[in-house]
Amino acid sequence: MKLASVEFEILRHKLWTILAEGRAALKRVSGSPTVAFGEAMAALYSSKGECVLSGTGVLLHVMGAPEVITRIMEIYGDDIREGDVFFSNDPWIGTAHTADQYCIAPIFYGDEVVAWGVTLTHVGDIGGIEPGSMPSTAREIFHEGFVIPFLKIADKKGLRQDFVEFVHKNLRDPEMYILDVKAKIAGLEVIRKRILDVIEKYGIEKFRALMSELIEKTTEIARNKISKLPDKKLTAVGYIDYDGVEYVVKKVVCTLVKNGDRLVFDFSGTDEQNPSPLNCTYYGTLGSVFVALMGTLFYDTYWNSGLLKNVEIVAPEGTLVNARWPSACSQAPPAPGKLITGLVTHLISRLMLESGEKELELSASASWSTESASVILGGVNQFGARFGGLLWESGHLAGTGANIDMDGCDSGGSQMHPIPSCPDVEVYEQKYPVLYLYRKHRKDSCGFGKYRGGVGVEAAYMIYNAKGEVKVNIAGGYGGSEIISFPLNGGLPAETVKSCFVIFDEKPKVEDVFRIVNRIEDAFKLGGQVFVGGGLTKSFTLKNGDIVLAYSAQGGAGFGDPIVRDPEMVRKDVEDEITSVDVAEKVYGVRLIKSRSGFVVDLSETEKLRRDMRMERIKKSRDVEGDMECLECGFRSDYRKYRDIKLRNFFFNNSVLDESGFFGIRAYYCPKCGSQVDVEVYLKGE
Amino acid sequence: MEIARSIVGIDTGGTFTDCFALLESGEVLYAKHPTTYDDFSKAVFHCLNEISMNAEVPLNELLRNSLLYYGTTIATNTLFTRSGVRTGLITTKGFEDIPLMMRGTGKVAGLSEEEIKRQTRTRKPEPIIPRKYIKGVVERIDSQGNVVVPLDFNEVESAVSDLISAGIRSIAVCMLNSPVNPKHEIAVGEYIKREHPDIHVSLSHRISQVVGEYPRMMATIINAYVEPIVRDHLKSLEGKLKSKGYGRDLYVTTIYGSVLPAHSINSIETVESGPAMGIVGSAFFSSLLGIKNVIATDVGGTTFKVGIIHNGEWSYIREPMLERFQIAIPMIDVFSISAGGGTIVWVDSVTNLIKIGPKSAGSEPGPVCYDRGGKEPTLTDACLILGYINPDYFLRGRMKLNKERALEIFREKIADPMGMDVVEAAYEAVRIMVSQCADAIRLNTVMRGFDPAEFTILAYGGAGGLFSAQYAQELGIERVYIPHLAPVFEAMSIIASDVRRIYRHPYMRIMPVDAEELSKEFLKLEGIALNDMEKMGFDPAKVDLMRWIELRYSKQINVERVGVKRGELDDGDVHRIMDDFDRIYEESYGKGTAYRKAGIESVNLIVEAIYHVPKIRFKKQKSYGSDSSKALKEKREVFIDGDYSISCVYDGSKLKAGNVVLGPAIIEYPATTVVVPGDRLARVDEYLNVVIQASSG
Repeated sequence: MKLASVEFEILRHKLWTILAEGRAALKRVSGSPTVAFGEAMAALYSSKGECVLSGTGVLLHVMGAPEVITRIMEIYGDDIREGDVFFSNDPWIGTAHTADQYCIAPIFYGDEVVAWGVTLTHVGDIGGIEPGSMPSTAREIFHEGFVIPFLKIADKKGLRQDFVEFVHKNLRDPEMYILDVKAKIAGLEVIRKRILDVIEKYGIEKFRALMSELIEKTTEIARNKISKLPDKKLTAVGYIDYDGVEYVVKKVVCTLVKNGDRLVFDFSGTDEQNPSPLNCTYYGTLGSVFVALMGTLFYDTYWNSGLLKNVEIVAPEGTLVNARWPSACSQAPPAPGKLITGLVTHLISRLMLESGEKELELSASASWSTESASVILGGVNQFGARFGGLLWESGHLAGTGANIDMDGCDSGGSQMHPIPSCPDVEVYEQKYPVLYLYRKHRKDSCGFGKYRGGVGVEAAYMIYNAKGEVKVNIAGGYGGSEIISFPLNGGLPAETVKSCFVIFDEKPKVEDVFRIVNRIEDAFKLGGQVFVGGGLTKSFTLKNGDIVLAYSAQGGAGFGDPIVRDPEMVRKDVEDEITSVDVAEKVYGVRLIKSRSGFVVDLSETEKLRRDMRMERIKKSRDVEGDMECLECGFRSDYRKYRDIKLRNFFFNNSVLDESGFFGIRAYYCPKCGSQVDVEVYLKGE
Repeated sequence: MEIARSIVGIDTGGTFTDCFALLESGEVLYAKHPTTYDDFSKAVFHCLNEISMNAEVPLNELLRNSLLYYGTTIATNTLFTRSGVRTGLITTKGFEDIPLMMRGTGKVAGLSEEEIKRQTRTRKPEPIIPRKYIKGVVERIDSQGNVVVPLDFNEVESAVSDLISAGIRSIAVCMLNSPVNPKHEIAVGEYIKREHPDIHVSLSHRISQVVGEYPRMMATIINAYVEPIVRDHLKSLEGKLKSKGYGRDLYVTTIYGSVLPAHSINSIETVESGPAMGIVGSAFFSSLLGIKNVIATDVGGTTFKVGIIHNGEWSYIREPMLERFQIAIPMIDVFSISAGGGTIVWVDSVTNLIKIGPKSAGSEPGPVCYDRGGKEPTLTDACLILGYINPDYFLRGRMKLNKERALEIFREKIADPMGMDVVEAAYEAVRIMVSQCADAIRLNTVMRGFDPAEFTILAYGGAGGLFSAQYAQELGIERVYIPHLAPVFEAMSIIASDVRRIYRHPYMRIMPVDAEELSKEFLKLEGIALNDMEKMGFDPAKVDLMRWIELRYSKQINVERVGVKRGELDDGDVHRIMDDFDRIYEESYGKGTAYRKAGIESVNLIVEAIYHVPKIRFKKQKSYGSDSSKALKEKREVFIDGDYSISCVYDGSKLKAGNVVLGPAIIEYPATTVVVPGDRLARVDEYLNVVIQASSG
């Protein structure tokens, strides 16, 4: 049976509303801040376990559930009954890490399973060696809480008591956890009831037709979109500088092979898995690849299993992108998941730019943030109670990548959370024993370019009024010397996440501190002992007055040569405190004159500066083989010019954390006009 | 206040200015004129003149004896067209980027699901205050209200002087934790008033007492931005009214459904008051009709709005969205989707499906059939093609509709690409509209844990009668009321409102709190409320006060408000509050969700002050029996319930109380049309409302 087109549209909208209702019911019951700020998913799967439709909850987990459903059908067979709810949090079957947990329920019509409802939340604590169950010190999966491949946790009579007892003996906050499980079940119940309403009203045949057409249509649209991309093989490499235990360089290699209507993402060449939780299992990688594809190439299709049919992922076992059991993997979203998302965004965008299709060109994007370095804290709060939580600028206030025709979004969020939402400073100060010294856009943190990336955000927190010690660490990123940011067409990479802990022997006067600190670099002006780190640090025990400064929300990468950026846009950025006068001149070649009401562009000086910059690029660089076509002057040749550039002089004396450490930045130029046509990060000595 | 003999409500909307008058005689009059954007008061006087003419009372006599309630769109319009004054912001040093960061949400706030999915192209809106007019000054107050860093006056002076030399006319002041301790904001405000008396100042703690700086700052910024323009307008309108004989305060409607004297209102409170008034009116209406649970639906030109009234009460959104900014001013909860008469129907070339919205043809150029250059087919065109709308009787026949042109465009843009017959294509577009309205209603009821089938639908707005019977049917809802005054419903609602203001004070404590301290804090807040009401001109002895406390389980996010008794409180009362919270929480979120073990935190104290305004009493009409044949106008071919049928068309203004119309039928009113599907009947009730229900019922 085939649905009439209007019937399809009406039923599709109904299905979408049902999933929104399911998610709303879930959020209502849960009351958990993580869930309220976006980490909740509700989706519908076919009787065979294919994803039929998902909404804009969290995107990472949509593609993992089919495997779980298939395995449930294998294992439980005839023992799948109406009212059952199955549980799964196994990173080797479907989720990205143990804290992401599915509840899955069959939807019966008569005595037949016609579909499956799936809900998922990121839960607070599931045991393991540290509260929160995402310890950076974990060395194997056993440190990260319990792992349940599948378990029937509810039946017709409700939540099973054996599961409840299990939770009470294994978790630090069992009541809160059970509430989250109940929330997921409540969401499933709404979906089940409403799907049955639809079946009653429109008939089972139409419902089945709807499900298969949704997947077929998506497959067809995805195939068409893929076909519009040029056939090509492209490789990109992302380096990390820290394996979670020591500073060693590791790489994730991604090769995109586009052939006809197929896309293959081949991660062969990726380094072996880390001894720490900085690993993706296959499902972490699968989710991270689709996070990138759904927001770029596939933004205007339905998000379901139809997208999977023409996309293949090759992830060698035992590597960073397919870690073997029993490796730890709790940091996977974000690290290295966001790095994978960044690589895929970069590669697919390059093909989209070459497609010659306006729509695709416009949706291509330089990479967004590739780390989410959250400030994690716990201890005794201002009310004398034990607490644990995180300050979440990182994921929600990161900058986004630039496009072919416009700048990225400043403090615009991450790809994995389509709806970013960072809590207010005042709300955090009510809940946690901290006093913010600032929360602001990090000047010059974006990748510069004809169109720049969005800038990220930095903040400083003083431990304040705590009635005991407070432990703080940063997690979700790497060591701080890596440069993981993938610009396009000669744009530049964004600044890497950094952090500082300042510990005082003698508590300083708040007013003095408040006047002195304006950015992370000011950490050294305070007189305390300073510990410098990146996006993953050890845990520090802090007292009142100690300070954490973190540029935790990374900027986005740039697009195109910075010296062709409209000088007016540079001027405005300087007035908006996005770009410094120094960068305006040295990177953009724009001379600004301070005026009474702001700045004005000195046009003739700017022209001269830019001319000189081009000249210098040509003069001071060497030739290297490689085909190129200059988008600025149209010159085609079989060689281009290159030289190493230094982009940011960070204040660290610690050489490992300086740009002079492991990595270099290389710029490529058109030999004729000196336009910057490409920029890449390389590993020194390779 | 001397009792006025008549009450007049005026609502300036985006397209029309509506006026509703209840005269001393009990007679009800209304008028509708296009909104005049060059000077909003012109349309107000067009309406007043028409009322005075129809009432056969000279304008100055009408005004002298009336109390005027006014709903204005000027603040919203000023914001949407970015035509406010040059505005600056003074805030705590280090937090200057807060209104630009927009908590990250600004990237997608106010966008549809489809737009949000296009992740790489969504951006934040143009800021209202550019970064260069935002000045940080050294000062810091902690979350308990302690001054951690005193205000640096030198910095205040230089910030203000920088702003003034940049041509700033209005300054917003918003400092961290000012709702807990407003000392620094007050000092900055006094300084500006003293040194620069011509500059408008908006202090955040006077605009909103809600903790959470972004939405409070946004409300303050928008207030500052529109304030001089709103003030001028209200002053000038008051002046004009006075010169025509009006002697009382002009009352202005608010986003939270009350009316306040023009001189004491914050401009931001006047935004989006139209939809809020619709809900106040719906609640008034439902109590008049003795219905407890109502789904209020407003089908206008560009949007479909849903509000829920449960047990006679509406709910509030704590941080509503204005344009694309979240503001910390409570708004009566109204959910809206882009689906109305002017919504554009199109074919999506990627999926080859008929889609409606989110784009709308608005009132200019409007639907194709308006013949004013509209080239995109709309739902109004579809209704015309289906025979629902009479091309010769639109707005009492003042505007002739071009059906040929509508057919032509619908064929070209929809029917041909889809390979459908043109009438069929129009019908499918309407079906999609109806289905999406039903989905929106269901989402909003289920979200609150209600079953829509237990509600009655109230449908108003210009296009309310066209679709409501059909979405009710789809939801299994038995009864639909289309108020007699559906097209001017919001103007009518205004006069059902009371003078009401909400006062808050942050109160971050772990429960149980000390009863004596709680009593003291409430008394203090009540003092502020009564003092403010007195300043507005109301006798404090006649002001009703209500107390609430906002609580949440620690580690959790959902905040619920719990009523608190007046007067002295003891420990027993405090424990009762906690028990009530457990109960209310479980009622809202489901049995077993209460989480007492985590501890309960208090967040805010709330005092609501109400001054009751005398209400309208509608006259009941006596029944003339079910025979409706006297109102029968003609029979015409209509495409309804998936087929052509010859339907009776009635003249709504001739229908009398008690009359019954059997579906399929069309009832034509001067400003709206009611479609009665085949298996339904329409009954005219004693207030001349149309009630649509199942034929068997």
